[in-house]
Amino acid sequence: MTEANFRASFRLHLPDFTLAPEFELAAEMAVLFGASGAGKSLTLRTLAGLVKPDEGTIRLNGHTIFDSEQEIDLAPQDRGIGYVPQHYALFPHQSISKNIAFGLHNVSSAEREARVAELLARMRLEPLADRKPGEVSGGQQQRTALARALARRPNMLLMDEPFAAVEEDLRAHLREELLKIQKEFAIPVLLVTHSRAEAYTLAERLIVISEGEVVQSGSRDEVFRRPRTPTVARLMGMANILEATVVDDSGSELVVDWGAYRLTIANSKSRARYDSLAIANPESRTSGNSLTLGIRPEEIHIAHDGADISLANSFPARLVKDEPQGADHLLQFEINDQRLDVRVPHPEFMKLELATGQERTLTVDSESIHIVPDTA
Amino acid sequence: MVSPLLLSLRVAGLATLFAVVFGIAIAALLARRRGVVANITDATVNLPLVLPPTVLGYYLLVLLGAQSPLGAWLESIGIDLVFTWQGAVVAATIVALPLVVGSTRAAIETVDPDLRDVARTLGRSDAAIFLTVVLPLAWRGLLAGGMLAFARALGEFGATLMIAGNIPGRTQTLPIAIYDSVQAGDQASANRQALLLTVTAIALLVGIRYLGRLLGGRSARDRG
Repeated sequence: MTEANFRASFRLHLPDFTLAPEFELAAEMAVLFGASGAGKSLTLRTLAGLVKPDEGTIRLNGHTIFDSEQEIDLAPQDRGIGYVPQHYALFPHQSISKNIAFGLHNVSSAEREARVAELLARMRLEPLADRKPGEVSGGQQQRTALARALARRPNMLLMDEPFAAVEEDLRAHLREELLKIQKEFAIPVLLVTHSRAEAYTLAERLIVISEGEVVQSGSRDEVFRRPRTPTVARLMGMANILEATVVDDSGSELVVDWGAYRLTIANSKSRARYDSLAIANPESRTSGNSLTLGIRPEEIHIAHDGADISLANSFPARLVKDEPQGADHLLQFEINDQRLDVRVPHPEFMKLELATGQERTLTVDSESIHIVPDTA
Repeated sequence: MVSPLLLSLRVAGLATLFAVVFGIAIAALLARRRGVVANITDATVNLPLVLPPTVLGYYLLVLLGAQSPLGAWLESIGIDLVFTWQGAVVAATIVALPLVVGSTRAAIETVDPDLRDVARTLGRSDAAIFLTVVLPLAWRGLLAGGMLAFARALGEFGATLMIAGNIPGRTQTLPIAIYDSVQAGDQASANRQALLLTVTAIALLVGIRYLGRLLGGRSARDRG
């Protein structure tokens, strides 16, 4: 991993909430991901200097921008951090080019014009230079806000839900643009989202925040494939969290009991190797120990009516709810007094001829069962 | 000798100017700060709204009279506010001030705080942000406040009579002249003066509305 450009560790106490994130960033595209109310936006506002934490340190490129003990608290004006809030906060009374030039009040007018022209061209906003923000599209507003922040050549960029105000169809294209811009400017970009799809397409580094704390931070694949806690697992789409008991560990396979059913977990290289996880401590896998497992809804297969249930990792479950979600169906099954979410594409759902109340055999591939190492 | 109409316009115009300048500063303070100082300022500024104008005028007379330290000091630097038209400006400014502060403050508070936050991350000082972002977006409230202030100042009677008196050609504003005419039983003059004041007020109201629409047309399009 590249050396960290940015490091933050602070506490902010509010009447009913404590924000205490801790993370590092290189010059990379990082996504701060979490549920609504987890403290994502507040974290950005604190980094930008708009909210003062009670204690902690924030460092950027070797400079301390906040340190409660040394009583350092740089003003937002002096942090060299670009900030794009939700809905962009463009100045409605100023043209697109005036918006971009807004932060360039102390550079020479020749330099200001050059930078504005460069950014207008870079963001394909030239024909709109004299328009007001209210007269351009959501995507164009987003690029204007981005250009306005980048015009000052910041050392870091913060973006709060940058795609929320953009039409669905445009998002993929704008994400690509943003990734390119991050590479061009080579600064840490920290983006807040609560969309898992967005986090997955954009993040080089994924920082998962829950109830004000960073619960996991790592490369995108690491966090997506090896969530460390049940909370992260759920946020990463592993909706099914099971509590199981170890029966046997052969080294290539871990056998566990989940209620009345027996599951085998493959120690494969393509997936999270269970012996390389934090449960490296072999004792945790000795028989009788309890273990938390995570399974994605799309990795549970539903057998056709009357199929053999003697297959490995198979168990009968009763369908209690069918929730159509566009191209997919989210099905809720009941087994072991627990709810299991299963996601199937619509065509497959039709072939299965399912009806609520029916019992079917569910199967999970031994490589699709993930061990969640930390139960806390 | 200044005609009551010209004197009224001069007093109300200057009072509006002062009320707008001080009003914006006070509104900016009140919109940003909470606490004892802000509360006391708020209450003091709004006092003329609840106080009878004659009481206010009496306080001004006491405060600015030669017997008070402030009055003595003002006299020593050559400013005499008692029984002068300048005194009438002071009275009209004070009664108009809460109207400007109220509407300006409300307008400032409707400006999206995100705009100010972003402007700060873009390196702008609070003063620059206020002048380039907040005021241009709050100008409607300002215009409304200025209009109310002028109307209130133009019609000021009680406090003005107390501090500036009723000296024809020097401190006799139009409302006081009307009172004077009625007292003297000169109904013809009273009618003429009342009509003059009414026409002036309506003309100004229409003029400002027209100005506001000219500017407003542009701003409405800005919002898209």
